[in-house]
Amino acid sequence: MTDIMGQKENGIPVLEAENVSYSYRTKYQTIRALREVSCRFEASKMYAVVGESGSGKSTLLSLLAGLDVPESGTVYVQGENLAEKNRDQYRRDMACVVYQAFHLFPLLTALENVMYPMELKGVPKRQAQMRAKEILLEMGLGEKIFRQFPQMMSGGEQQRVAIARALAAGGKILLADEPTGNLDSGNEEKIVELLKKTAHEKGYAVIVITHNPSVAAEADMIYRMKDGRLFAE
Amino acid sequence: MLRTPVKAVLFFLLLSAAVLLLALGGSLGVMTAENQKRFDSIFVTVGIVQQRPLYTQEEKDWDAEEQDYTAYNRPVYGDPMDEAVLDMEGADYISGPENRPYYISLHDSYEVYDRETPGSGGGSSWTIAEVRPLEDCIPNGPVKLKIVRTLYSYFPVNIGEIYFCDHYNENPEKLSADKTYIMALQLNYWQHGMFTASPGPYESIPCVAPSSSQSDENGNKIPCGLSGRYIEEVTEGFYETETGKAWLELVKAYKLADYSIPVTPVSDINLLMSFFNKDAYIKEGRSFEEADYGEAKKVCLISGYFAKNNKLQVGDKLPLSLVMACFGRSTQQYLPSALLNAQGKFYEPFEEDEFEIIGIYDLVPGTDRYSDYTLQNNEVLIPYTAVTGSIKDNIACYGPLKGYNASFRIPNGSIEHYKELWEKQENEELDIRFYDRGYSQLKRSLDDIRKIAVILLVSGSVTVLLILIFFCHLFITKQNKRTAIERSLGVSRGRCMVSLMSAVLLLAAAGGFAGSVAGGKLTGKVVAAMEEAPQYNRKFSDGAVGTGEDGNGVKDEEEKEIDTSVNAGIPMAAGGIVFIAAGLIAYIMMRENLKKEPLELLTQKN
Repeated sequence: MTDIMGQKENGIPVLEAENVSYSYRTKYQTIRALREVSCRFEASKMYAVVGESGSGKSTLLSLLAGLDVPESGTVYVQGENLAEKNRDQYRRDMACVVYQAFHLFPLLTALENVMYPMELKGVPKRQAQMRAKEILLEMGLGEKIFRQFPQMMSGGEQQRVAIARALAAGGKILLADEPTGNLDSGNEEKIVELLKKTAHEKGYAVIVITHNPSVAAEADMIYRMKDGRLFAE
Repeated sequence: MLRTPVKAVLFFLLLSAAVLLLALGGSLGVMTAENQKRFDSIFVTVGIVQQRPLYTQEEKDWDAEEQDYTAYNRPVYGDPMDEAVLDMEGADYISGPENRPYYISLHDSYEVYDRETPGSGGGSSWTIAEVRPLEDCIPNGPVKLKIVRTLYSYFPVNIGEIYFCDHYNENPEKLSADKTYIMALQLNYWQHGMFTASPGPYESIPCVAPSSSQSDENGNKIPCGLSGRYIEEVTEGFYETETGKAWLELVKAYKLADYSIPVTPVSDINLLMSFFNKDAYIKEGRSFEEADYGEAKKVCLISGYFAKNNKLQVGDKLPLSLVMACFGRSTQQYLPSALLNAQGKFYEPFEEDEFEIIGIYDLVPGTDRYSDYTLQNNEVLIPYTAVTGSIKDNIACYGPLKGYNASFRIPNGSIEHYKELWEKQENEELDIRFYDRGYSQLKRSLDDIRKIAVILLVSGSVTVLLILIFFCHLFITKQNKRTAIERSLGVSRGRCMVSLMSAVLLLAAAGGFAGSVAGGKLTGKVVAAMEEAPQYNRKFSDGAVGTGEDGNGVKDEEEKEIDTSVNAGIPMAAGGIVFIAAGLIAYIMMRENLKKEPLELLTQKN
């Protein structure tokens, strides 16, 4: 295992965690979910974070997504301390999350789901609609899906719409939490391919949290979480 | 929310219906409260107290025409009771209980009759004169007398000879033609054979004798040495004797009495049934105020009749010289038959002062002017506290407690409570009658409406609360994942809150408004239906404790209606409150939503 801090000289990280620790309390005990974790993520690369359940993967994702703040240590976004930035804006403009359970808005069509982040940023509706269609087509989804509601789509289609929604925000970081966990192998491949494409062609730093070794194997770099500590493989 | 139209419409409809209940309940509640307040300010509850006679005694009066006795029944009362017997623990009197006397005020400036209106009458037909029979006679029937000297007569007496009969005396004394007698005569009082084909001449009768009914403060009659004889022989030096002096005092008393008026002291104008029944009203100036009673102000109310005859106006000063206090009699029985004190003298004033006229009252047309409860033509009213002089040597008569002068005022709606207290006293000697102008009935109606209002308010509130909690749960708590997705997409907490709450509040506002409008209209219809229902047609009512002679007939002329006008603001306020409640519940639920970590929610397995 290598100390990941050694990578700092290789390029400008989009996202970086430095000595990040986090603990949370249950009814009976305090659990140290992350112990002085340091890592860095660069643009145009796909990273996989693997580890057993309860090892701290999701907590790390939460901190990287700016949904929570570390107890100690710092998360840097393009060299700036995330804690000092507007974290809502960070998620709107820079980082987006894709989940295992897709989490599309059930009452919005595929097109509307993709338009949503753009509307949040004030993109005019017509423009947002056109861009959303483009992204959906890029995801390999046909026009017929535009007006479909999530419950009418397959799991693979829903996850592709979710990735499309993430990309619609136009950020630089894509965080994916078990993105293939609910998919069959055919759809898993398609999604992994899309994620790779997102990293390599669109220049995103894609961070995938997964149990699946075949998904991890496709990553440019793999981190392993164990007992709240992170190791590069 | 527009994407779940069924839920949204259901929320709107249910909330509207619940707000309708609230608005209806609120409107009825406020209407009831306002009416209650209004009634409390305009209604008055009084109790009038009457001493029960111990028994009824048959009495007989001789009738000279029939040469027989005429029998009649007379109630016999025990000792006059003190109003203090009504002092009971827990009795919440507003005024009284008081046993009002009336005073007699004398002043030579008073004009007590309307002399300007022809035929309006007035003046006493009593004459005190020295007479001499034309021949020896026993006046057990019409006998001729000659008036030789008139000592007192309101009208000039120049009739020379009169027929005289000692009508009510079975054994009249013989009158001698060579003697002169003094007597108080009621001229032309009777006509023997009045209803026959050949009626006799009009005859005069003896009507009063120098006597005294003076009492002490406890109502005990003070013994006096006056003979009480109706006819006295006038001999040489007669007027130097005690009896003669008493006759001269009687003459003086009658002369003064022609310039006398009754003055009633009162601690609450509503205790006078003429005012309570609205038979009397203030036509100029004002009535008594609390300060008049509290500060014992020398102010008075006079009748329109007296004001007109004496050319008095509000603001003028009226001299009062109070000479007698009479208990147990009404001012309709004005002037006691015995005008002299126990010493055979006319009373000296116990209070002399000028009273400012603050108001002029009048009686409504059709008022029974001869009822003991009705104010007398010249009656002057003053605050009870305004008289500071002691009446102990000027009590000209005393009698049992009577409804027209013994009364009290209690809070509206407390009749039943008072009755319970009184029943515990186990006093059978007093008869108490209550009059509240129908307040009790109205109160019962208002209580019924209030119960309905409370039921509607409670059911409406509970329903509104359940609806709001249920639908806020549907629209907010159940949308926690949506909130989490929005948060993970970078939507701020504030915007998440606005996004969900605005839809809930919009529907709550629409539902609240619709329910308010419908509630307002329905309230109008409900109260209209109430107005039509016979039980809401209010008349005066009264309650009585015990039985006994009926009190003064309290008029049913005036009708107090429940004001059924609906304050449009109330239904709107109900809608507003529901809107605020919706905002509060939505805010609390939204806060709970936002407390949870988005990732925690979104990584949960469905």
